[in-house]
Amino acid sequence: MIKRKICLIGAYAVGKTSLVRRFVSGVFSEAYLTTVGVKIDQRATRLPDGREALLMIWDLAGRDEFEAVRKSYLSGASGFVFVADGTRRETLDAVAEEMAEIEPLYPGLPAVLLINKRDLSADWEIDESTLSAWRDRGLSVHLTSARTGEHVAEAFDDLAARMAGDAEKV
Amino acid sequence: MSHEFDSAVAGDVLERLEVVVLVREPADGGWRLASGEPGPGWWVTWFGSAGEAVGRSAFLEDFVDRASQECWAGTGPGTLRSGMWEETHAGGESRFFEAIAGHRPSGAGDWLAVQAVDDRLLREQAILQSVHDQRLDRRRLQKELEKKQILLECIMHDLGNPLATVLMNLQHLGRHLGERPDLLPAVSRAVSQAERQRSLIRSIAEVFAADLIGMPSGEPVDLVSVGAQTIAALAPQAAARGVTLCPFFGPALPVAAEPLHLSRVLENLLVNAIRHSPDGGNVSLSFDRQDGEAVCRVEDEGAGIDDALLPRLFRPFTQGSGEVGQSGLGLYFCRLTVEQWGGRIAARNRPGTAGACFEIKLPLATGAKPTPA
Repeated sequence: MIKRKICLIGAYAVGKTSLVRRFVSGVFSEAYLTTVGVKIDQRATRLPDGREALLMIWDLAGRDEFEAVRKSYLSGASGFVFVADGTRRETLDAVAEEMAEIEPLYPGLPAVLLINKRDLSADWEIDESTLSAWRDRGLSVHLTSARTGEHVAEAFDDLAARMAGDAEKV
Repeated sequence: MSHEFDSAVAGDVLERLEVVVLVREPADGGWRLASGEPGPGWWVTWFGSAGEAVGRSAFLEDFVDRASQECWAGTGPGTLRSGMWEETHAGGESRFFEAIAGHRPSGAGDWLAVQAVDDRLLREQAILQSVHDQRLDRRRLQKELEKKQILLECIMHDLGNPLATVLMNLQHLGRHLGERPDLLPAVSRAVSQAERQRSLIRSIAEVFAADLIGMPSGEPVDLVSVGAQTIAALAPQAAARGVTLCPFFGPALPVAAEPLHLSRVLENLLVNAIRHSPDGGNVSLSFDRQDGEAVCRVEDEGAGIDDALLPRLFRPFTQGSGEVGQSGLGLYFCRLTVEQWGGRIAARNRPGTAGACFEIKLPLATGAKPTPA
């Protein structure tokens, strides 16, 4: 089984930990508990070519909290999951800032963008044209809900498939 | 004997701090516990042994095999902290740890300290949680305010604009009723009621606006200057009712407020005082500085405030006996606005003389220079 390191990156309270819990354990909690440091979870997934891959998912604290050690955490990653909160537009701006810093360090590394909290449609702040602009940058964008599970597995599977393709190119 | 004693003390300290130290010598490259196997119970539970630890913990493996490479090679920092991470053992229980990598110069080997840091994590988490919760609450509040702002604009637009048309047409009718003078009183009553309704809409909008003010921003506002401008604008209205305005200005009083709303507060108090003043009466506006607060008083020579009315004077829709036609929201607006700036408003009857005194107190702006008396 091939092993791949994935890093989740995004502002605080966008739902990174909830997305991992939904993907790995299939559960969701309404309570918000801020993540400090790092938690690594793993889940096996089958790639489009039939191979099995073990995804080592690094759930990192929001940007402010791990600035000093962020470089060492990101090192060795095979892919990135950028997460924004669809009900807080500024969290997408935070993703843009993160990407601007990370892309030069890991050019061409597979990444997906998850716009989370899709279930809160009444409070949605990110329009389709904004998302199109992100897609035009070659990023795969998924509207997810950790609460309902909508598109969560698909998003991780998408990244896994991109990583597999990336590894084959190498 | 002394060496054994030192080792025992060092072992006690490490145990109390919940730290294990792994060492490896250049010759064999394998990790071993400095204190000897098996190590403390928590170490065994979460990491097994020195030989198993790196393979058992994905984080530790990454830290040792990747992040610390420069440290081990002697080309990076002499020590490197991993930051905190959460480790879950096979039984499902989690604890938080931090690792520190260390390289001894001149090929003297490496060491790796692993410490349980649950207490530190909980402390940091409590602080961060509080900060995040506050930011999220503030944002939720901001969003609520934006919704209210939209509602306010609807009130102003959807109620106010048609009313303006009604008023304009009624006034037009009034001017061209030459052939039907008997209808003039009816038109006048309609104009009067429409104007009253417009005033009510304005009051309601003001109350909403007071709720939307939020914290003042920008430079401090001089309460005295705003008072001077407001009272000057009201001079014709006072004169028309035979009331004399008596301002008593003093040194500047910088307060953290929003000038337009501050002016509306003072205007409400002054108009109130003018309305309750007898013909030939005086309305005074004075300023003071007391205990780090700016004080502004509006006093009249009217009949004063009913004792029964005093406790609910600043609640919405409170009206005195002679105030038919008023919205009962003016003083409520004043209270909301002043309180949002951290101030207070009060009313009392003037002791030993006729009339009422309204007093607002606002905190002097931070950094404002004390003005000599």
